[in-house]
Amino acid sequence: MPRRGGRYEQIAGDAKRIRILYLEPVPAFYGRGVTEAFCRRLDGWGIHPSCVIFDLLTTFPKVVARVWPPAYQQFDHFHVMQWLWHYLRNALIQFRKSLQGPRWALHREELWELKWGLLKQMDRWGPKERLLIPEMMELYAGTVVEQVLLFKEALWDIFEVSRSKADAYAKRDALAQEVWWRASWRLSKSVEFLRSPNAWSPTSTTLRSLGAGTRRR
Amino acid sequence: MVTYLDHPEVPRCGHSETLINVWRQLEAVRRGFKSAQGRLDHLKLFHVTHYLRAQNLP
Repeated sequence: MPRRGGRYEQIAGDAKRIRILYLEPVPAFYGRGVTEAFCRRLDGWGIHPSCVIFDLLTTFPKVVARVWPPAYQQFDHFHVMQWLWHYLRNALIQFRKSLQGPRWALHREELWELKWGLLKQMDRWGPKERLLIPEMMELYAGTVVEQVLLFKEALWDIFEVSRSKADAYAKRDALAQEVWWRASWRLSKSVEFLRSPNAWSPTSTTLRSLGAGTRRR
Repeated sequence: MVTYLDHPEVPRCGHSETLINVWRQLEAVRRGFKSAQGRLDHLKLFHVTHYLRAQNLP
């Protein structure tokens, strides 16, 4: 659970029924083993999950593999998307800030207004977005705005349209082979995150190379 | 990250943010808990009143 008021709490829940199972405050001077002790306590109470879903904290995959070896591991989709989308959003914001001068004032406003539309899946665009964004793209062809739009669609394709893990891997590798996103540091970081072996099969190799979740507990 | 693609029984979201939100709302009503034990006791009451009642347990 995120820190609020200077303390952390660990929460265990039932993902299917959306229920809180157990809650434990993390000691102020926590060290190694706190998360494992938490999982072992759950295990001791007879909780043997078939799948464990966790956020991007690097400790979880190792601990879950030790405590519940047969359980499937899954990074929480919400957190994965949140992590990727923060790169995309910041890339747009940075580009918008680079548009200086009165000539770009209206364009800056337009970008600000349509930034969520740009980050939304094309199929979910409303009438206003369908009208304005294609027009806008004529102006921003070859810029970060266009790259973000394309990149976001590629991400949707990987996570929403893929039929199997192998299919998702193939799409991810195809995206990584492309060159158009390399000029943008933020898109490069996104690809780095996607290519991190730990993010796709959490227990496979060292966890320190994972782009996200550098916090350890 | 994509385990859910190969195993349909695996949900892709843990709804952890929802659970945190539920708990924060409980905390806000009580204006926090004085001790960790008090927090756990309240969680037990929450289990009884919200989860177990629905199953008609004694």
